[in-house]
Amino acid sequence: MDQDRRHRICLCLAIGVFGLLMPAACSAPAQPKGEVVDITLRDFHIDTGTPSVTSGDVVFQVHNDAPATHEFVVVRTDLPADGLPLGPDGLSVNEDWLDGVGELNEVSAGTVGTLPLHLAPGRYVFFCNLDGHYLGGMHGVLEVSADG
Amino acid sequence: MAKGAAGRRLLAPGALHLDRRIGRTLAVYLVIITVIVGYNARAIADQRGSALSVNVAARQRALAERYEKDVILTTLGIQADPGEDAQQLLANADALLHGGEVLAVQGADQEIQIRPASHDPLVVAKLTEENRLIQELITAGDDLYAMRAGQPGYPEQLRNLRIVGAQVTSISNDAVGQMTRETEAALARLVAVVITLGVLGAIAALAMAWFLRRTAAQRAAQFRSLVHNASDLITVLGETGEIRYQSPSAEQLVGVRSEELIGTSYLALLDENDGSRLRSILADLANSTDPSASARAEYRLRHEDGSWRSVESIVSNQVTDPTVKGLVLNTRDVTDRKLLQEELAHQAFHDSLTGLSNRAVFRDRVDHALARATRTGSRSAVFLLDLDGFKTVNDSLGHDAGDQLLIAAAQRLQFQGRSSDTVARIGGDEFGILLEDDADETSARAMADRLLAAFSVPFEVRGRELFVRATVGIALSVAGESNTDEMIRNADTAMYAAKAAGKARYEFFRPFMHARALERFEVQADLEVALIRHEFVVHYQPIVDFETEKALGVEALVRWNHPTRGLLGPLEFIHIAEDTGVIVPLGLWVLGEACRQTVAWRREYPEASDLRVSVNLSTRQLLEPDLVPRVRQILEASELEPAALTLELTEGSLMQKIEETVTKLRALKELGVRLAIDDFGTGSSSLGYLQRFPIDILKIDKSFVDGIAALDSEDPALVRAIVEMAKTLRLETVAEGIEETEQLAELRSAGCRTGQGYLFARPLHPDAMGAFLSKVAEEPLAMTRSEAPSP
Repeated sequence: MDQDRRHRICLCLAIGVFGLLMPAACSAPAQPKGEVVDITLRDFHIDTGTPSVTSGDVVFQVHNDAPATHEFVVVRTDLPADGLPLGPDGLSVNEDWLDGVGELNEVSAGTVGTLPLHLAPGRYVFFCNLDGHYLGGMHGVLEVSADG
Repeated sequence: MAKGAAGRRLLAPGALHLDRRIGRTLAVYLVIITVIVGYNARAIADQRGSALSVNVAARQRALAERYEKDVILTTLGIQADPGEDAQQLLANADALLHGGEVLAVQGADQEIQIRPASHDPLVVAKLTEENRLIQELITAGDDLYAMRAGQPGYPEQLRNLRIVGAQVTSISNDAVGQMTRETEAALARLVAVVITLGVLGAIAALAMAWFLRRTAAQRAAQFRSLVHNASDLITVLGETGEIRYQSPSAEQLVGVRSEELIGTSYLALLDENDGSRLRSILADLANSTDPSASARAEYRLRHEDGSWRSVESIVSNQVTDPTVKGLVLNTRDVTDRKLLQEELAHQAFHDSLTGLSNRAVFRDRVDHALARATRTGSRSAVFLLDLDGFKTVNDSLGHDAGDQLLIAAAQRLQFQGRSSDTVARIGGDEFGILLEDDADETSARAMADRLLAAFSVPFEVRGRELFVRATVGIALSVAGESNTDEMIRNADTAMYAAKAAGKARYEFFRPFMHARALERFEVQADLEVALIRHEFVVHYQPIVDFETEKALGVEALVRWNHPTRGLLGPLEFIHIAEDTGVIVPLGLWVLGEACRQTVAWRREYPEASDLRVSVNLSTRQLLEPDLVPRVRQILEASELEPAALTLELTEGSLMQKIEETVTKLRALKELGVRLAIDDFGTGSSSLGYLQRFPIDILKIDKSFVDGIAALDSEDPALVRAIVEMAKTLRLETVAEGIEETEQLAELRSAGCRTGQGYLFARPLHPDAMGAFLSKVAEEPLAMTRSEAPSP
């Protein structure tokens, strides 16, 4: 009887210590469905390997290979990528004037951000809207064709 | 409660020791914690260095903005110094990457040394990018600096400067943020490590404390259990002898629960002598300077029921032991051992059956009495007492009955003497009594009378009344001349003399008894060899038919032709032969000789062709298991017809082992041998056995025949009654010791038909007997005194 009790106490202690030492295991989020568009951010331009996709679910896999932290903003527009309207300081795009589709506020250096979107056919521009980054050349275009 | 707690404390001497171990363990752990905290304090100090770097990094943004503004102001014609800003930007950027001197505060002259801002690759990458952008900014600034507003290409160059400036600001913020996060994360890690170490240490300490406590508790429980279940008594006494702890076995030893003894005086359980002795031992120990001193004490403890228990204690001084603080007594009950020792001592000096002193003690007492008698001139008396007929009781009723008789006799003897007199069992059925101081013939005689009187009442053994008398021999000491051996031997001699004189009496030792005893001893020694030397002869006395006046038969009577003392009658040696066992071979020899002789006479004298022979059978012979086959062998060897042989037995011998005797007599009867009771009327037995035993002949004792002719005697009537009874039982009668014709006439008148005696013939030598037979054949006896030669 005493021995069982001792074993139980030891087990509780072990579990407690384990819980203290080990962070809670993170369950991996479910991978969103859709056509993957790989985007690579650098200082200060954006590489994209997929110039066009079909409409529907699209998943942007945004790889930040630059040392700096960046944003990733997607707008639907027919304006040229380097011709988007700027804000009052003249250093960033005035997003209020654009049809925003989605964004990643912060993609830290060396990480990959995932942005799932449902895109209708059309023309989309994506860019980093930190001060001086868009103007430094961090923008690109994605053409979304109709399904079929 | 307090007493109980003190008791538990005393019973767990290891607990304090373990408490110290726990304390030491916790102290070691605190030292470890202190080291860890110290180490972390240093790490925190390092982080302070990091914070300085962060501050410098944060300043870069403002410097870049000021540089940008100064360049623009310069192009607008306003005096500014962007060069200094540029220089400081580059110096700071390099210091952040590789370490170096920077201004302590922006705008002041004091410089401080900083270490590389971080070794984290991401921070280093950001600072490297910032450094690159700063250089790019300064290049753009230099390009714009050379222009003036309104010049061609100015707007583009200004735009480029602003874009790069914004990028520097962005990366600077980014780097500062990363450095801040890294610093915070490092601090958080440190705090986590410290907390984890603290928690783990606390758990480990608690687990250890729990484990040690539990071990201590187990040991204490084991120790307590040992003490509680030990048969030995464990007692802790305070300085004044009060009981501070008492193990539970006290209840068994003194009948009081251990709790009730706490606080009472231990010495109160002892008697006065033991108490003062133990008090002295305890005081000596308490004052001893030797901490390992101990002492042993034997004493008795009083049980609640009033009995006393012998105990043995080992006392040790543990006053200085903080867990005991007292004198510890480890006490063992040795009552059984003591009793055994006393029992062994008693056994060594006492007779185990009767509880009386034994021979060794008796001799010792006689030694002392004689020594004292020599000093004071007083006299002592030694009595030796022998039970008459004890052997008969032993043989007929068994040894258990004999033992009971001895015990009863011993009790009676003990009541007869004074407390100073010694009563001892010397051996067998022989007792010794020593009368000390002032013994003389008068007091010894009084004592002897009391002893004999003690045996006048029958003993009750196994529901039967037994009349057992005693014979006493007395020896009185002669001042300065007697010794123990002599006294006992003299008493023994006197006792034999008393026995020879008829038993159930006492005799004082007289010097002449020695000669008689010596003579008896010589007879005993000579008897052993007489048979081998053919010194025995058989004489025959005729048994005469009163009607035909012819010899019907003869009675064989043994004589000892002693080489120095001449021809000895049976009275002089038969009882010694009985005592020594010589009677058995002697009896068989007589039987064989008588049978052989009878056959010879039968053949030699035709008138005696149906001559019978009577042979005495002793008690000892009758008890021999091979009696019957021996008789058969003798008859066969001699070719005597069994009916011609009559074996004569005494009443006394018939009363030994009656069942066995009846069986043997029947077996003898089956052989054809006739059986006669010798000396009938003198024994103490009843007439009942006459029917029980297969008897053919009653031999009327001479004592009846002697008085048969007297005028005022009752003997004629008795003889008539015996003869009548014999007729009723169909037994023949033979009168013994007929010496006178009047006796013969009375016997004839009483109906007796056969007899023997000097009137016819004395016991005759075989040759004389042959002559007698020859003579009778020629002329019948004239019923007058025989003229045949006497033996």
